[in-house]
Amino acid sequence: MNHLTLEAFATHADGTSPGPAAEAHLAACSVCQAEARSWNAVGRGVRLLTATYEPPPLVAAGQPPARPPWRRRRVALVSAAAAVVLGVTGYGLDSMVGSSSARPAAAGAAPTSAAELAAALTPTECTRLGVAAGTLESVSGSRLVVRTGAGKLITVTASGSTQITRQVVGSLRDIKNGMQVFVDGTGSSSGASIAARQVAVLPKLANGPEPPPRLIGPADIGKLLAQRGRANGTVTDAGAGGFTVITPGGHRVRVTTSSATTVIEQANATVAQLQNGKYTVAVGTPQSDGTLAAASIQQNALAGSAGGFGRMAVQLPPGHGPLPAELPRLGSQPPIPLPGHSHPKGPFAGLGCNSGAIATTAMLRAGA
Amino acid sequence: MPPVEAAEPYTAALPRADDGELLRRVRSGDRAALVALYHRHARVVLAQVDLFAGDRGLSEEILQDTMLAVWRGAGSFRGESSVRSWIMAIARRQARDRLRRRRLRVVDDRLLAERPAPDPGPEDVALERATATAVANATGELSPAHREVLGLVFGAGLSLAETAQVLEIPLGTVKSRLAAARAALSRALNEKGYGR
Repeated sequence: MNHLTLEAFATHADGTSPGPAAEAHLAACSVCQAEARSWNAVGRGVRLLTATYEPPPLVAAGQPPARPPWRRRRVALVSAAAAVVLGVTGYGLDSMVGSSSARPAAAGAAPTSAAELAAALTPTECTRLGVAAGTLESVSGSRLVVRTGAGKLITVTASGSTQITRQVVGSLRDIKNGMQVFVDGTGSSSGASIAARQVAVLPKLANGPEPPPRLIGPADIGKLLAQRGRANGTVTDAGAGGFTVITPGGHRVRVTTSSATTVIEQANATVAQLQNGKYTVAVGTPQSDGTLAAASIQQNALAGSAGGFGRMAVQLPPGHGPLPAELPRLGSQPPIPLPGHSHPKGPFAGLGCNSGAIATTAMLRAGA
Repeated sequence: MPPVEAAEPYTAALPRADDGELLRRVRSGDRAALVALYHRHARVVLAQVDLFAGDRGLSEEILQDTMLAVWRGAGSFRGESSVRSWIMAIARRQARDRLRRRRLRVVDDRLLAERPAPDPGPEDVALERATATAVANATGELSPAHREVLGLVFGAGLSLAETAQVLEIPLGTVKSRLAAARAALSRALNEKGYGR
C-alpha cells in the first residue's frame, strides 16, 4: 500500500480509524508514523483551541425582525435576553446560575449599606468576609457588579491587593504529586480507575467533600464516585500516562490521562481581563456604602467549554452540596439510602479567613 | 414567542434526531430544532469564525447571524454536503460580508505561501514535542487562512472535500494549504524552543 493520504492522517488525528489497510500500513511505516504524530499534534492543539469557546445564548425571534436584536452589542443583548431568547441553556453559565428569565423582577436593587450587603452575601466562618457569587454584569475601572443567584446586584471594588484569578487551560505536565485535583471522566466498574476527560487543579485549601454519612464508609463514597468517573483528592504517583488520587476517605483511584484530557488551572488576572456574563465569585469585606471590598475575585472563564470548574461543579459529588436522599442506582444495585445529614459548619468550614480558598470553594459549589 | 421553559423539554427529545431531520424541522418552523442545531454546532462554528475574524465579539454576532440565516434558509439545503459544512459555509460568508463592511483587510488567498510540507526536520520535532496547549496557542498566531483551514479540518471535523466546498477552493489547494499551515505551526513552535 502507498503512504497514507492527507485525508487519512486527518481522520487518524481525529481519533477515528482510517481503515484496516491504512492502520496496517501505519503500523509498519516509520515515515507515516512520523507524519501521523505530527498531524495528531496539530489536531490536539486545534481541538483544544476549539474547546475553549463558549457560544453565547441563541437569540432568535419566531418571525425574524428586519433588524435582529442581536445586532446590538452583546452586553445589552444578554441583559435583555429573557424577552427574546428562543432557547438558551446547554452551555455553561445559565445551567449553572439559572436562566435569566428566572431572576426575580424586583431583586435587582443594590444594597446601600453594610447591613443590607451583609444580608445579601453568603457568610463564612471569618466574621469580616462574605461571598458574592453570580454573573458578572459589568466592569468599570476597579468596580464590578455581580448579579447573585437571588438576583441581587452587588458592587465589588478591587484594589491593588485583591487577588484576581481566572481559569485557563493547563497541561498534564503541570500535575504534580501533592496537588489537589478534581477529576471527571469514565470510571471503571470496580471504582479503581478513571479515564480522565478533565482534571481541575485546585488550591490546597479548597474544601473537599463534606464528612460522609454514617451508614457508608468514606472509602465507599470515594469508590462509588469513582465508578461514576469522579474523584477529588490528592495526587500521588504522578507520571506519564496518569496519576493516582487519594480521596479524603482514603480510597485510591488510578487516573489515566491521554492527549484528549483537558487540564484546568487558575491564572492570575487583572480586572480588565474579567468578562461580563461569566460566573464570578468575590470574597471581601462589606463597606458602609453597601459595596464589597474584595480580597479575592475568581472567574470561571471556561464555563460551558470542555473545561471549567463551574461545569464540573454541576457534576460534583454529593459531598459538595446538599446530600440527596439516596445515591443514584448503580447498575443492578438498589439505591443506597442515606441518613439525614447536615453540615454543621457551613460550606467554608475550616478555611478561616483565607479568601482565596473561600473563593475557590464557592466556585466549586456553583450549581450544586 | 414561547417561553424558554417551554422549549427545553422538547429540545431534550431532539438529540436523537440527525442533523438532516433537525434541518427539516427548522424548515417547517420548528424553533426547538434550531436550538438543538445550535447546541450541536455553535461551539465549532464560533471557534471557526473567530479563527477567521479574530474578534470575539464580532464572531459571536456572526454566529447569531449565521443561525438566523439557517432559520431563513433551511429550505435551500439540498443535502449535497453535511449540515455542519453547510452551516460553516454560511458562517464564512457571513464573516466575509461583515469584515468587508468593516473594511478590514481580508487575506488574499493568492498571497499565501502554498508551499508543500518539507521533509521531516527539526520543525516537525518541535511539533511533536510541544504540548497541546502550546500548539493551540501557536495556532492562534497563524495567518487567518491557515487558522481557518486547520479549524475546519481538525476543529470542525470536516473532510477535505467539505473543507474545499466551504472555502470555495480546489481540493488540491486545501491540501497544500494544510501542509503550509502545519509548516508554519512547526516554525512557530521551533522559534519558541520546542525543537531543541
